[in-house]
Amino acid sequence: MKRRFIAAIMALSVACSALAGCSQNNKGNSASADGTYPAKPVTIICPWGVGGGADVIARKVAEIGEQYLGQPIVVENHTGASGTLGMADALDADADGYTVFTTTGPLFSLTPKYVPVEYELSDFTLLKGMRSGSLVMLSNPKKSGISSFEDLKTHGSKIKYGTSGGPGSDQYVLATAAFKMMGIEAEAVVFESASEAINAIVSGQVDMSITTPPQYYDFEKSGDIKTIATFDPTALETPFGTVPSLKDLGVDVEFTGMDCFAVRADVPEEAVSALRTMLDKVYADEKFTSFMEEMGYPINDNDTEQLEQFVASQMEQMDQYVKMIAES
Amino acid sequence: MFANILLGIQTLASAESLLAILVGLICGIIIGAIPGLTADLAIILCLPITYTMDPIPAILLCLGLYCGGTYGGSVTAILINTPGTPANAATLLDGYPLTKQGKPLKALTMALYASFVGGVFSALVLLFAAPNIAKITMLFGPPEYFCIAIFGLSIIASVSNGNIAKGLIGAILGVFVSIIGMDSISGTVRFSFGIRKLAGGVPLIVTLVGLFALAELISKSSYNPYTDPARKQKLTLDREKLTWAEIKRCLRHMFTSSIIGTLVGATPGTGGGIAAFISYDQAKKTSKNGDNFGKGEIEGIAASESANNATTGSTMIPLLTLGIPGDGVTAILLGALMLQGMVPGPSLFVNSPDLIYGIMVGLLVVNVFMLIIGRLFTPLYANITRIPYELMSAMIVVYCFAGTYSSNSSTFHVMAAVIIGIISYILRKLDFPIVPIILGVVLGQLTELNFRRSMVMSDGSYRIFITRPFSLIFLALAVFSIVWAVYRSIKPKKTPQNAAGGTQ
Amino acid sequence: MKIKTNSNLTSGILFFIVSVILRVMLPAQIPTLETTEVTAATVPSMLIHGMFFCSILLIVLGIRAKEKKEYIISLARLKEPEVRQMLKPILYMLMLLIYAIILPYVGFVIASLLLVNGVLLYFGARVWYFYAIASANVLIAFYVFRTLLSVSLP
Repeated sequence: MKRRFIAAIMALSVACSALAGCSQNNKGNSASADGTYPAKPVTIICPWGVGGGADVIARKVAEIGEQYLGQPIVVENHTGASGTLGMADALDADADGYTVFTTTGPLFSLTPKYVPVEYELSDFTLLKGMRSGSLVMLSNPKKSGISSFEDLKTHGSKIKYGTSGGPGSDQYVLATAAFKMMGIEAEAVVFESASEAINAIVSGQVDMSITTPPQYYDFEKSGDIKTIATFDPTALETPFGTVPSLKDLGVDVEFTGMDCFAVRADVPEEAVSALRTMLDKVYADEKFTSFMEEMGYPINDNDTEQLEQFVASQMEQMDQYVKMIAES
Repeated sequence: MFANILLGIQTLASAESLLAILVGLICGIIIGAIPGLTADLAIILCLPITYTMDPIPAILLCLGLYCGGTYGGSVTAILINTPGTPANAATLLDGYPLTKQGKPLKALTMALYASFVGGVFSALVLLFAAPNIAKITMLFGPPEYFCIAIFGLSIIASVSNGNIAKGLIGAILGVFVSIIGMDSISGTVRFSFGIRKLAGGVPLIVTLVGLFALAELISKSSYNPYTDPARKQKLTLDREKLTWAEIKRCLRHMFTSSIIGTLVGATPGTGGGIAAFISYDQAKKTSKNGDNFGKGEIEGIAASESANNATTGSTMIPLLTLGIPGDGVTAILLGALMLQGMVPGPSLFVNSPDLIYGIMVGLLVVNVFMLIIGRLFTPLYANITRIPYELMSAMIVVYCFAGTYSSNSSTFHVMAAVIIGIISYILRKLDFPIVPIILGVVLGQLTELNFRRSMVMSDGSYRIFITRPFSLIFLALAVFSIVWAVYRSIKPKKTPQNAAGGTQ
Repeated sequence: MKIKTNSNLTSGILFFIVSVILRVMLPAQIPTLETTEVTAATVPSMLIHGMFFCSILLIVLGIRAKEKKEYIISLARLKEPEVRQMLKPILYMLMLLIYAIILPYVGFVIASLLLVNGVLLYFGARVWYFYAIASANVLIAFYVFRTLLSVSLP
């Protein structure tokens, strides 16, 4: 009886794996005949968690890009330490073009000031932008009585603002710098995700929150949230009206969010151009554009030069802001 | 409302959906049972399969994985004293003793029924009361979460088997483990001892595997197949099934635990594990057989398993109504939904009721299927205890490590699990209760982060915890829980063994 | 030498030492630039103090309690079968450690095969098909994880 039982288990597991193998046939590890790139599956390392913005986009790109590239594309999440762990893993990976990763502007311009990192901009080639994001200030007019930027100055008590990250994250640094410049007394309540920060402002736990659209649009529709300012250098058009930019309101801070795909700088040119071609095709694909539109993510199709310039100038700006915050 | 429910049922009635539920459940149960793999991981790993499916079957697959996983973890918790997922940690307290008494079938069946009751209760609440509950949980902020966490920690009092000092140290150790890594509020890296990988913290799975699985394997390693008397005779499996009387006295617990589980699940940031422990504690205090808990009392299993499955439905309330993920699983579900082009939130609720109600009704169906599949397989599981232990040891070890590695693709974590395992073995030898440790790990971050946020919100004043109604309620519950536990342990017991040193 | 002790006393002393070590390491391990009252170090230091007090409590309890087990430590005892039994878990732990160390270098399949057969040997299993099943299990696990779940074990 025992032996038969064990044999049954073995048979079952073999059957399972066979079944799985069949259904995944077209995802098998097939090396291409002549050994040119790509000869094996490509991995995209995402330094953020599953289900987050960058992750979702990366997975969509992987899903659509596989057909153009001719090899399976797998997304791996290496999270931790504000994204620096994933970056470190990307730096450690072989420079053979089979490891791509997603990164952001702040990971170069800001995070290294707070977290010891071993990488720098010149270690990587930024391939193509993913999305650009606006950082905005949200308030809850029903609960905190703040319905415009002017109200901030006349608020009275210390303003508590919710952010989705601590020092080292863009929302925190930008908001703290902005309040400092305005001479308003404020303190950050740090949450772990944008959802929590949004939840906090909707329920009135904090006076304001700093985050990026469009996650909270439903609440803006119902009047629980109002976008009172944006960190973009120019005013922002939203479905709810034009949001003034802080620069126009007299506060000299600016920030634009940027995600992009990247590889190590020493990856062979053959691989880099194959990847670029694949990305270009994905971005031209209707499935991708309509997906991004549904999600409300503005596609950022900047190429390497534009991206690198952008990051360089952001690094200068962040230097300023961080210095300002440290002078307390 | 009812029209919507009918709409939901219609969307379900396709072969693909039903198949998705079936496959999800089976895979979920298997994966949940493997220590080192959790329901979260199961969903992550199966995400790619969902890309090519329609939205409803895709989500149903994930739901099947989730419910199956939460139930499946109870199998190993009962049979080999190792919870398959963190949510089942409380089940082993009474499940394993029952196995040792030769009654695994009883325990397994109860776990199944309790899981079913909890799951159905939760699914019904989701279906009928989602928006209302969402309104309440929206009011919860850092002070409330802190007090909920304190309430959860107060259970240490009753679970320390009388030795509070050891229980506290265990909990402190657990909290410490959860602190390792980067602190999200200040950005400083704590206790990483210069090791880069530690800067990301120790994932819960690693601690779970080390604490339970590996420590268990090590302590059983003194087993000698040649001297084990049970092997000498052909071990006849006790086919003792669950009696009606037993089911009846557990009904009350299943009901209360389902309520507790549903409430805990609905609050973002808390999960099955906390629900299970709170319910277990609850049941222990209010049951006539309270003293039997921990020695193989079936009510304990009923409480813990209904609670953890009761979180499955309610945890989706914030997700479906507000688009806010409450924990790891819902965060992944959020991603899965978004990949399918659906952004959950108030507008989805209104614009696509067929989708939303399809999901909610689907959850009910998942639970029913789970009951059926469970009934079929339970006798099979019970046979696992007949596998000679040395073989089991060898096989479990492999799956544990494979599972631990998978969650973060890291061999470092495997090493971490081994080290934690060794340390927890030493602690076991020193008579430290393990439950406080796991409570500390699970609740550590919740407690600390929300404490600090509350301090910022209140400008450093502690009064914020008392002036807000809900925090006060939870604090009071915590105090009450501690007092009751102390009272119970001081109450003169009938056994004469307590003459020497009351709190030993 | 003879030591009279019980678990409370031993654990008390152990954690006393641990909490002191942690207290000393605290500033180095938590480099913080915060200026607020409640910092990243607040809760950890509260915890360490908690551990400190509890360990003292344990020591006190340990000394006061009447039951103490006597431990005789000397080299001669190594021959006793009882002591042998206690050393067995250490052997098991060593096997696990070695496994974790070599895993990144030799890969999952080889390391697991070694571990699995090692464990069986350790238990003294004589029946050959146990070894076969366990080894087959390793391979099955590897393939199931690889194909079904797209997780490539090292």
